[in-house]
Amino acid sequence: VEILKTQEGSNIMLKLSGSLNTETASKLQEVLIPELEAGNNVVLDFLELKHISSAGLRVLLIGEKVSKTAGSKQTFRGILPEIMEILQITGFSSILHIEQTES
Amino acid sequence: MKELIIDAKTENLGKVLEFVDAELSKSECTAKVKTHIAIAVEEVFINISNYAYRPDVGGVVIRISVCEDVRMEFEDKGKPYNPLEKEDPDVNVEMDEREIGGLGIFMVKKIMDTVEYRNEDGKNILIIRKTFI
Repeated sequence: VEILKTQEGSNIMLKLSGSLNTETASKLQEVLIPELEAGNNVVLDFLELKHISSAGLRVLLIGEKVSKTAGSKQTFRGILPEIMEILQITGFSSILHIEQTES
Repeated sequence: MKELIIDAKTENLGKVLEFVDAELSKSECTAKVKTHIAIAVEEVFINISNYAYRPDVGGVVIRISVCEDVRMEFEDKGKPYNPLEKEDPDVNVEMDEREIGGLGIFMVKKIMDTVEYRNEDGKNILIIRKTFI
């Protein structure tokens, strides 16, 4: 996975590309969790994300739990249909804050 | 049918996925099916890597045949373990009650057409199948 981090006002934007799996999930965890813990809102752009496994979902769930405690928020956008299907199967689509796609 | 014999170690995941991808590329698989198979392969391989031989390392034989559908077999000689006996996580509960982990084999069952397990001559054999579309 590649993670591009930018700041947009008070939001942190993380643009992910490639594969969020066993090998790469810890990379996201190291970037995402400290921001949420610090109370920063994070927008995760999944438009270039091709693949997510349970290891990746695990990080998102940790993020959700951390943000609730810290009073921050993680939001998702640009989710591809094959990733969305995984989120629906696992019930994550109803847990995560997912923005409606514009196009 | 093609076969890959490899140590069940997390760091070999890339090689396993390459092996599978090379076979799937010759088939009429849609991109979505390829993604789903890659996810299932990862979950199964990582499970075997983490648990089958712990604390030692052992081998796994991975077979793939692409014919009318994609059929894959994972064979290890580790501790007898039937992942299909594991209870499904409740995916309808609130976030607070969601447990971290336990999703892997559940995802495999959901995204593959069939998942079968048998224990034969002291070997764990897991077979997953998926049509091309």
